[in-house]
Amino acid sequence: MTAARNVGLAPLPWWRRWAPGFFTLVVLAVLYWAGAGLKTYTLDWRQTIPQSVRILDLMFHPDWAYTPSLALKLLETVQMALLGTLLASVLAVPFGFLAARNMGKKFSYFGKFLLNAIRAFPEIILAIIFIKGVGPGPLAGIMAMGIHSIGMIGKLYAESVEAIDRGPTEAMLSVGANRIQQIWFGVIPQVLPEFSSYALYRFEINSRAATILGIVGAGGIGTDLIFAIQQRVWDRVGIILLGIIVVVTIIDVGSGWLRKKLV
Amino acid sequence: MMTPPDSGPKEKLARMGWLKSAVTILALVLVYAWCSSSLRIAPGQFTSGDTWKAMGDLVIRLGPFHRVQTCKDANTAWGDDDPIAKPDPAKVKAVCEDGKVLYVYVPHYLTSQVEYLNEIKDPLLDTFRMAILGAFFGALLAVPFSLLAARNLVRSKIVYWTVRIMLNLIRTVPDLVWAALLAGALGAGALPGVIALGIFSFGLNAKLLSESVETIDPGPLEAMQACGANRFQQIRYGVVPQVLPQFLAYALYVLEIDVRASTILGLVGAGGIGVLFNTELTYMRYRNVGAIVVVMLVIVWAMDFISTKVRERLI
Repeated sequence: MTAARNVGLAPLPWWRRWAPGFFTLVVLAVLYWAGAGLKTYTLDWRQTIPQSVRILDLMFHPDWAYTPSLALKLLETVQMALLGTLLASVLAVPFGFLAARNMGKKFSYFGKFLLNAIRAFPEIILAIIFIKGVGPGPLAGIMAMGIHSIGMIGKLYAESVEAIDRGPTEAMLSVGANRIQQIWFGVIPQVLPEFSSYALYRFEINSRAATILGIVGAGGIGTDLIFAIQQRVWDRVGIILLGIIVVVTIIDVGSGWLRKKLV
Repeated sequence: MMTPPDSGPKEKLARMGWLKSAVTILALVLVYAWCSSSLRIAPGQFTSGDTWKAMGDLVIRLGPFHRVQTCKDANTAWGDDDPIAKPDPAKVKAVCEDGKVLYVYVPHYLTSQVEYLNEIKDPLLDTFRMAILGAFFGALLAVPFSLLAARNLVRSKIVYWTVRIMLNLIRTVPDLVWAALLAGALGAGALPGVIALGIFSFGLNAKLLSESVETIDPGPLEAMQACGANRFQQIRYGVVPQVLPQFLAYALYVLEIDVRASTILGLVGAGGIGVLFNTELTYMRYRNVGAIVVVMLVIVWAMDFISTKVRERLI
């Protein structure tokens, strides 16, 4: 069998034959390093398993009486995501044009670097900084999402600006339109559907992010979730999780449908 | 009677492009008004000087600056390289009598930061360890489930949809929520972080992998079926060779996401550098917070760079 596999082919060099084994060895070594070095506690399984079962049981019997205030908080979460995305999708436009090779010219590298730098700051860290400024509440979360999302939206904007058809702008140039007119009538109509589709996509991501920003106090359902977990009210944790899953799923499906119609 | 070709209702609507833009803009303004009124947000909050002052204060203190606010501090804090140098009378007066807030450059900033990073080496490495273990177990667990969630391998609709819906549910819960949940249930530490990352990367890996299993070339599978290979043999020799490079690329991509996530998991008590970040923030030792933020940024950038390069080679 093994001989038949290579009929008519030169045998593989030794390093190719041993590559999978070598790769496995490296992976195992890294895993050993990770597992042996991790300072953590050992669980007493005789206690942990019944306890986890009890917690799961409580979580699967949600506290339905909490639904009205949960709905309000979820609405707040979605509104935060909406405003954060709106802010980012507007702020990202100049960044996107700056980073696009056919618009920003020699500054496009600078624009791309700027977008990468913005993206590297996690939302949670930004939220902490903004909380210092405006106090805990939804505004800090909105600002955090609004700034962080510029990184991704701007990059996607730049890509779609780079892919435009040059015909309309050249035609306008030949009849004497200035730069602003070229962009307004030749570029914007071409990229607008894609821009809105990217903004919607980011709205999906932001609606997930908005659920966790509350953990540091930046508004939304996360605050209630972390309080419920810390107070070990597991039936309330259950219903909050259910709410998050339902809302995120609805937004995913709805925005996916809308994006398909847009592009 | 003939109608001119461009006077139908559809063409009329198409010529009224401005109406469409106006409606869209109006809708966006309404969304903004609705959200901002019910969240009680006013743009005025950002024009107030206090907001920028407070944020500027934080950002300055994340860097190499010490805030001098009290008289006691003003009498000791001055000096180019010695913290207990002779106080500068003019500046002491500014703080003690005029109530000014001053920022001084911290002497030996870089050396002290390097020393601090050396001190926090262990939680920093723990972050990587958590991410590696989580990504590995997530990827391992994703293999059987991705086969069950591939339409071309599973005949039974019930199994296919059950697995698919389960994977979707797992993915709707953000990683930080998993971590908070597990840290609450199992107690704070690195273990809930590893499990949370494992669950999160399992969901992501299984979804990506099942999609690439669904797009494989059915030729080898059919050929093997024709000469009587069993199910396991079909998967081992027909599916695995086709998706292995993609599997490795996805696993690496998920590892990158995990490293990113594991830096902040500590905010909910799930181990890694985030725990320290939270502590330093609570005690308002902002210079140390700044050092941790810089390390986080370096990690994120490095992971981004390495994994992009390796994935380019793999696929």
